[in-house]
Amino acid sequence: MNQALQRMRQRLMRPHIIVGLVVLVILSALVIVPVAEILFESFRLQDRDVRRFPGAEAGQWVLFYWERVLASSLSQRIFYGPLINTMIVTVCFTFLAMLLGVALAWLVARTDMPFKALISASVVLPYILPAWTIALAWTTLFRTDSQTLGAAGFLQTMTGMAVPDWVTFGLFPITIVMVINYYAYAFLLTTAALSSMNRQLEEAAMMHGASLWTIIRRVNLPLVLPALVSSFVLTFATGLGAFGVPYLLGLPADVQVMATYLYTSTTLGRYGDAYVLTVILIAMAGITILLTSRLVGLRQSFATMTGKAGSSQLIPLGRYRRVIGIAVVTAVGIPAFLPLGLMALQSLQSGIGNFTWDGFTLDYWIGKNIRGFDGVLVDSRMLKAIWNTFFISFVVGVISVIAAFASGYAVAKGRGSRMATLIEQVAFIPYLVPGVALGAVFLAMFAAPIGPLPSLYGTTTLLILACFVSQLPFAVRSGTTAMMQIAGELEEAGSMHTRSWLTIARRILIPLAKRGLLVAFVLTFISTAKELNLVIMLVTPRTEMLSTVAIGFMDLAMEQFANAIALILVAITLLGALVAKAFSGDRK
Amino acid sequence: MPSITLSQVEKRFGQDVAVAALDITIAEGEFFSLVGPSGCGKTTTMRMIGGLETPTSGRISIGDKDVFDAEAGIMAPPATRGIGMVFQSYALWPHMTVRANVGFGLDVRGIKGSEATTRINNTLEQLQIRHLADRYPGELSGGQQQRVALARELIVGAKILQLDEPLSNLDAKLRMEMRIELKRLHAESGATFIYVTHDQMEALTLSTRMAVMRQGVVQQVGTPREIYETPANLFVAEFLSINRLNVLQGVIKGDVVQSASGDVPFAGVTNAQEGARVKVGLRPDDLRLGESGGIPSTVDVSFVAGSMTLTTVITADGNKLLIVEPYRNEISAGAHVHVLCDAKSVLLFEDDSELRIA
Ligand SMILES: Nc1ncnc2c1ncn2[C@@H]1O[C@H](COP(=O)(O)OP(=O)(O)OP(=O)(O)O)[C@@H](O)[C@H]1O
Ligand SMILES: [Mg+2]
Repeated sequence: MNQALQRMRQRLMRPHIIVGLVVLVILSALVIVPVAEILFESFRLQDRDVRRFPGAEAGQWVLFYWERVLASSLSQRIFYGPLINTMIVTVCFTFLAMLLGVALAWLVARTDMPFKALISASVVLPYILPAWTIALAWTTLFRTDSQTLGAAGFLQTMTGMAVPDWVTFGLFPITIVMVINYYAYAFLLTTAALSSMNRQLEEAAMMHGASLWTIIRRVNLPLVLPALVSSFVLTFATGLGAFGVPYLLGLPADVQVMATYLYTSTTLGRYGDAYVLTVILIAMAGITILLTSRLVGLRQSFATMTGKAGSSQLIPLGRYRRVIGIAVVTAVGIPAFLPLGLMALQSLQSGIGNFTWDGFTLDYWIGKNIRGFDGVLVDSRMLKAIWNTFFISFVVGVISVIAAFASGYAVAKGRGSRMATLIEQVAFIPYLVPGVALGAVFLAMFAAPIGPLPSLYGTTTLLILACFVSQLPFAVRSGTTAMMQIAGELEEAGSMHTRSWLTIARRILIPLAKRGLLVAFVLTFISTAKELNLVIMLVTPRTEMLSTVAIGFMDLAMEQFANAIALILVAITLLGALVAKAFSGDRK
Repeated sequence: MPSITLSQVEKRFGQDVAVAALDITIAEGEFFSLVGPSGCGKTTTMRMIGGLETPTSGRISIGDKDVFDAEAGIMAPPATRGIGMVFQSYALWPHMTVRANVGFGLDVRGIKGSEATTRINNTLEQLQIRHLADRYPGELSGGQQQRVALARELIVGAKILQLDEPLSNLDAKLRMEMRIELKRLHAESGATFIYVTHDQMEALTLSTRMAVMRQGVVQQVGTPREIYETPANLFVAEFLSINRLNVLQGVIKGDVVQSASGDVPFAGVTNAQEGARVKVGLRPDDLRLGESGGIPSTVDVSFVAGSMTLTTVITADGNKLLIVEPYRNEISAGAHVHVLCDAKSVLLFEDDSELRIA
């Protein structure tokens, strides 16, 4: 008995088991429990609805919300309308983004087209920017004087031409803007796969007498398939959860998608409906991803996003090489760089639209008292938002790195063990949960006090926790990659000299993982800084972040402020991306 | 002082037995080799001694201290076992200079300042890598990395040094030099060396004693000479034979083995039963070609390799035999020859168990 206990203790007292257990407990508390909680909550009577049912008590089990969402006179407005819109946007967006991304990837990776670096940069730039900033620029460009604010956009001011309403607001612009934002997924992943595919693989098949079709089917396709599946999953999940773009481009035309309606429900205080919608959204994302991986027979093909154009044998485009190059550069360059110009322009104009030389002003940057607000660089509320954004992103970056290190160590060291697999799977869950839904989950979970913990509603802690969870899939993945080469003989060589795992961690593991962890820090920092979908559910006036303040200004029809803030965010994210690139570059 | 005893040590990975019921005692100051084909459990054995792998059952003691005992639930951490380990990949920390790598062990043991500097310099000197002190591992050749890995373990005065195929990444010439170097270090340091290799020549030339393993089971333990001359079974004989061992099947008749290829004389075997079926092992370098007697055969190929002449012949029943002789002129293919052997050098094995008949 005693000996059995001894042996048990011995098995458990190894550093990677301890680290792994701690990681698992935290992951479960932050991921599994909240998701389960929201499922329960969707079946329980919320406080504000108690009076609808005489004699009922809050927290009692009811099907009321599911009925109201799925089968009531309101269902069309609450659920089916948004569902159809979501599906249309997601399917069209995924299809177009994949098509464009893969085609461009092929051109860049396998042909001798010129201007490759510029093209790659133009594809990636919109992806680095906060998603809603392009939507902002879209309205600046296309709005007409017959629409809500009665102001002409840039295009109408310059050419006198008014585009039809469906171009400015509605499903069409939502889809197009989302494509511009996210075709980088398919592009980056496929480029990486295509460049790793060298000519010799094809030649080897040719030597065996394989036909061209056989080569494509048996050699090329299987090699790009994982990349295609990954980009499909990423793109599709992004489409389902999209919030910022439909919010800016859909609501003015009364077009709701599920994510925006979910947000609307919470602002209306209809939490029950919001929870039901959350459960449905998570289920939709989860089922799609599961089906895809089943169908293709791939389980863990969700590769990380890195890519570099290769220089193996390139297919010559011949005489049209330059023409094609120029056409492609123009096509991808305009949607990448024009929005930045439009944002700058709008932030410097005294009126919305109606661009004029007399209208130039710095008021929205450094002015005083414009309809109650000061310029973004001097307003105290804005400075608070800038500080919040930095603080929250910094803290999220730091804890993500700690999580990346700890989980990466446990996973790399316990390669193939049940615990390693479990950590990876649990950390993957937030990836299935659209941002707005994750926000709703955290709202449900932490709005009320839990045991000795006080209510976290309205605190930065809640924002930090939620953002951290949304970064988990990336953190665990990058941590595992970083630790894979280190947690092996290099560590064991240290353990021959010292019993203290902390010494080994400090002297060997951390210095070796430093670069990878730094990159993870910068990337989680910028992706938190530009986060909107998640934080819009959780912010309160005291905890505003830059992106939510910008959206607030849109609601107040003070677009100049929104554009100025967008530019500040762009500056932050671009700077971060450059730092990350510098760090992840040449290794010794 | 540290002798190492493994008793009934077993290691399973799930259902697979990597090492089965191992019993080995390694005396202080030995150069003990573990040899065997790939996947036979050499590395696993070494890692269990070092404390990097927990055995499934059994007991390991170093000196008079139990470092592992499955029953009693003892598992001493690697750092407390006084063992230095040179990994096959060398496992040099790429973010530290040679000096920092070598000094690590002193540093974590609280030895700093001028004493550390002196000891580091001395060790670097001893391994002739003083001039590389400020380089990073990435800037060293394979042989140099190997020396740094050795220095890192030797500097703390480990009384036991384990080396996992340390020479397998080096080219043939450097291997030869490093072998001599290792032998010298062994003598100078007085430490016990445990050495893993699948190169039988390396084991035969370096070891004071060695163990031959096969699929997790130790086949034989002894001095290189004992094992080479009196292999426990056919597997050991084949594994240690420098050139491919010739094997014939036959039946014992008086003082010869009658085989379909011809009669083979044997000597020094007392318990051979008349009429017993046996396998005969003939080492190529113990065979000679002659004009008459022995096993009549036809020459297949014959060529000169440096100071040796290698000939393969085909016997009457179609067996192929290899003969390695000191230099002689090549014999043209198709020539009729007779393969002669010295009765004392013939190895006999039981047909079924393949155990050597003593
Ligand atoms: N971590 C592990 N998990 C599962 N099986 C393992 C593990 N480590 C080793 N094995 C298995 O145990 C057996 C012995 O492996 P070991 O590494 O000790 O062989 P080896 O004699 O060192 O071989 P080599 O000469 O190729 O290095 C092999 O069959 C191997 O597949
Ligand atoms: Mg090995």
